[in-house]
Amino acid sequence: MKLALLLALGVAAGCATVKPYEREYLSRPSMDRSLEMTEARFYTHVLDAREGTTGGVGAAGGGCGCN
Amino acid sequence: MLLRLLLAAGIFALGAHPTRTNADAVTGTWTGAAQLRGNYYWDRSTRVIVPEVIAQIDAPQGTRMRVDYLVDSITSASIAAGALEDVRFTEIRHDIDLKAGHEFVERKNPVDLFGGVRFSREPDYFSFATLFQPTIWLADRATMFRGRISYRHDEIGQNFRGGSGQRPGNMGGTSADRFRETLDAISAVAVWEQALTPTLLLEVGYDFTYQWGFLANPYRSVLGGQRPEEHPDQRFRHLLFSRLAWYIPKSRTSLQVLYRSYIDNWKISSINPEFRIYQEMSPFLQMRLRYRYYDQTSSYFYKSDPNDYTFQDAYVTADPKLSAFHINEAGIQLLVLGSFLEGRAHRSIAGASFDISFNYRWNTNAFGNQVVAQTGVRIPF
Repeated sequence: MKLALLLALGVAAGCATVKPYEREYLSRPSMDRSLEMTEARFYTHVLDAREGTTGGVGAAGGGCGCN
Repeated sequence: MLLRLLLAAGIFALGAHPTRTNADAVTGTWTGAAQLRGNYYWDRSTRVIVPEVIAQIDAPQGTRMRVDYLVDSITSASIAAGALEDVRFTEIRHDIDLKAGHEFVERKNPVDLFGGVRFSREPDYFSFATLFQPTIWLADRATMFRGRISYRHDEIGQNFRGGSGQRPGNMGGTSADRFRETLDAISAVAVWEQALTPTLLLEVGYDFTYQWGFLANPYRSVLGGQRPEEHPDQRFRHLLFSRLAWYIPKSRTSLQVLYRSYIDNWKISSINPEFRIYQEMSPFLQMRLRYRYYDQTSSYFYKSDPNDYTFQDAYVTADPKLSAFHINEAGIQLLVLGSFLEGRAHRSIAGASFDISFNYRWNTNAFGNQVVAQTGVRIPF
């Protein structure tokens, strides 16, 4: 339910486009998730080897036999 | 065959991450970055040390190339890793990741195409993976849609350490006898990212994975070693994920909420909320604090005592990952930007960044508590 509300908010707010000159704060290092992708790669590997779920982060994973 | 695949991947061109173009199209200058990373993992039965090297080159016309190479040094005394005696052994895994990308910026709605291949090899395991990732931006890049499709093929062997080399229990034969199984997987991901306001960003995604083949561990067994682990040979996995990021300009703080929700046909389901605080301590120093909670149910064929299985059970497992458990995790990261050296050092040093992080996981399953630590330096050129 909360996710649906968030989605609706997102769609509605998306109609009011954020212009390029308004995106100074969205380009801060803390807001750019792609900057953490290299760090996330090893962390995702740990999750795949130690938790029962997978996905949601990073690129295609390679296997390691650590099943 | 492997060399041909590597050459083809190299010609295919290697890609960096697709949301940035660092090359200078005006002057025709090639740019890029080199990264060195160190990764560390520890639990009571396993220690992993992974040095990693990443090289990235951006061509002025928008093509990006990237190569990522790591050496995974795994030290373990775990039965699940092939130990027949209570002694530690170390195994080395080599992993190379080659990627390419091109951003078509001259379009009204820019498009980026990104893809690559990955190879991983260790004495008892080989893995090949490939992915393709198209991205399109709309509304002056306020909206992004990204897809990703990947395929993976693994070849699984056995390599017991210590003892007589005889395979335990009813596995039969010795370590010298050939054991070869395969595992394949396809994965499809769809992501929507939306700038809601000048300080608020929303990301929502869905990740589907289908695995088939040998999905068990070739070293684990139940009934005192009398029956090797046997899992279903298919697995359908669904994951919903989201992220809401809010930047507060007055305090230079970013507050973020992440959430993952998972379910699969083995009847495992999980929830995974995470909270992050990014604080800019100064123009060149940032701290990240994170708290993550993970809770999952067990698979339908999991039994807490491996001796409770019978030889008539269709599936048997000794995998702690298939049990019901939860994790509380806390972590801290420091990011230092070299910009404080601007005007006093070479521009590559002034543009460099250094990060170090430490995470501790309080884990209730048989793996026990865990440490994940990472550090890295990135130098642009």
